[in-house]
Amino acid sequence: MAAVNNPSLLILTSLSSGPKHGHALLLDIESFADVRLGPGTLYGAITRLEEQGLIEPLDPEDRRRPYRITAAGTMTLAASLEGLRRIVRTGTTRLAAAT
Amino acid sequence: MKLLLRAYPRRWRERYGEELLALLETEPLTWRVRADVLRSGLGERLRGSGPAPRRVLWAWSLFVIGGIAFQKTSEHWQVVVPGPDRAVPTAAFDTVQVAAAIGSAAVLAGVALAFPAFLRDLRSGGWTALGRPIVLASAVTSVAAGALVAVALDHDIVTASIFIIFAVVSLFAWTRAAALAARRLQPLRVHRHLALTVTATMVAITIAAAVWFASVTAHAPSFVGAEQLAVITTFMAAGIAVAATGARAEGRGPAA
Repeated sequence: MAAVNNPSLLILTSLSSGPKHGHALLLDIESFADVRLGPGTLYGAITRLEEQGLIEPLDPEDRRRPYRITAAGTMTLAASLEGLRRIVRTGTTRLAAAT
Repeated sequence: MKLLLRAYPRRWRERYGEELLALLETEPLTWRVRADVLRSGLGERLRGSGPAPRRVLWAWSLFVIGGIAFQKTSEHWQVVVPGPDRAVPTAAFDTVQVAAAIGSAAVLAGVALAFPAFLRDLRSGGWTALGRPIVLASAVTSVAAGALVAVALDHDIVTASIFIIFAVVSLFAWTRAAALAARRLQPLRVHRHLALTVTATMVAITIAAAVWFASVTAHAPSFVGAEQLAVITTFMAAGIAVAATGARAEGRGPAA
């Protein structure tokens, strides 16, 4: 079972280490989350993140356009990760108590 | 591969199409990838390129006038069509009724879903912008209601005409108030779906009404008067045109 499969969160996490274009995002996400996003799913999430101002496009390189995370995107990612940390803490504590 | 991209609305393709195409060229084009792109493209169409909900409010209001004229015109049509020949007009007429019910339900559902946000907007200063149109619509509706009571009492043709005029103005006044309110609110995703549903029902009603008209006038050429036909076609066509114009404008706008 994949730990996290929210495409937006995965993209923000990937972009937190630097700008990437679509193909690089897919490879990076697969390497750290073991999730292979479909191209349509990836670009759907990119569309939404750009609309929300959480990522921004850079100048295209050939036909590929890199994206980078914005300050708002970094804050959103931090808040999401904190939420996940709470879930992990709660789950770990409850699991320990149950065993 | 380019064919797959056609699943997306034009505005989206203009912005992201080349990038997605470049990405697809690096991926094995499996059925799973095709399905993913197709699903996402249709999702974008539903989300971004359908007719704007407030445009559909206007379209539906115009269409309703044509629909009411159709309803009035079609009364007792069974009398002029022999029993064995009623299958086609009956199916067409029933289609109009069902589609009208679905369209009305979709409009009411859209209004109901927006109502909590509308009330919050009113409480947080929206009344300043919306108060006048709401009061105006209420006043016109009161006059129409008064005229309706007068029509019920004396059946006078002049009073009936006044009622019709104020009823139509009342419909447009409420539509204007609702469209102004909708402009101040963030439409929900479901509003896009409802707008598409309403547009589809308008098209279905128009086609079914045309079939009904053709099959009835084949037996009774003078059953539908020229003036009634003009009112029906004008307002139905106007409604569809407004919705279609809204859909095209949405699809053509700048991407970012």
